[in-house]
Amino acid sequence: MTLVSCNCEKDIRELVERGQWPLAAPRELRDHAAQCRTCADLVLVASAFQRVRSTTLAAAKPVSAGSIWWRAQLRSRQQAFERIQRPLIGAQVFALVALLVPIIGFVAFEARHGLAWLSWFGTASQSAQLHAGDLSSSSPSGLIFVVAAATIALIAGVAVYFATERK
Amino acid sequence: MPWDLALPNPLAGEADADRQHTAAHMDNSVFAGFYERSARPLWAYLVRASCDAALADDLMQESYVRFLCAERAPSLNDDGEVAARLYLFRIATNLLHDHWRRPRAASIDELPEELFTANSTTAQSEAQAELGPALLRMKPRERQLLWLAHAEGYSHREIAQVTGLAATSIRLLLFRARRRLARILREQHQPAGGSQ
Repeated sequence: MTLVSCNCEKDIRELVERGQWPLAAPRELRDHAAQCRTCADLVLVASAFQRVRSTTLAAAKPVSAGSIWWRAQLRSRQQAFERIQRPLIGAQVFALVALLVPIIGFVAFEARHGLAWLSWFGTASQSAQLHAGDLSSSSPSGLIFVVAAATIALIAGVAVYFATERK
Repeated sequence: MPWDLALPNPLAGEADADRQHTAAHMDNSVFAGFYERSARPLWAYLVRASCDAALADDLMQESYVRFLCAERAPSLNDDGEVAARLYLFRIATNLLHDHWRRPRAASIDELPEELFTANSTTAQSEAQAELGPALLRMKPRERQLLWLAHAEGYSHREIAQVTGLAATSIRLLLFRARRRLARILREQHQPAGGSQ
């Protein structure tokens, strides 16, 4: 569709928007609008919109400005609260990383040294049978493993507590 | 007691700072005046563009809330009411677009016409009966452009600001939409079986 503009569009549009069309329009302009399709379309559409606008404005039942303002205040506070919580989430992620890195390092270290501490289980079970639970004869690396596992479990528990406490 | 003092204040420092931000570009009384002048035109725009009065209610309220919470909203004192109103219409337009993008149960073309003409007086019914069915046959963007141009009286540049379209393309899009709507309106006015 080719754009067909007319020099009279602006004048006709202003008259229609002021509600002065066609009574206050010059005779030449009315004659022109009757013959020019672009201007005729403009008159038809703009007049219809002006009529519907007035009835639509009358039909509007907006809520009070106070309730909108109240909602905006609530929204602002909610956004402020979320802004505060953002660093906390960052700290939790940091704590989780700080927990996982030693665990992974420990596992990697033990894997590199051939998982020698696994033999402690065999030794301990034999010792339990022979010496009725006396672990003092077992290797020191076994005790280190127990202490490390307990420490990791404790830290993980604390991390889980802080992570779930926020909710 | 002022209603805003009754609000809980769980984060005094941050909330006050945020409250100051909200009030920085508009305080309660200034907003009330702005709302009084702009709420009806905004609702009319939304209801004519969406053809859904309930949706227009929701989007209008959400538009004002976002306007008040926006950090870059124009100030009524510094930028003037025209800029603030254009910004508000831009928010409403974006919300409309978001709504249309969301998958929904029924198409906008399937909305019952009763929804469009409900609770209206005789004069309103006559005006809506003239334009309502014709608008339903138009595309949403065409309805937006036509309403902003011929009901709100916005210039092409202002329409571009509201819709986010290029200002150079508004003229052609508006011309096409107007011609299409005029054809539909003429068809409605012609008696059944009449020829043009």
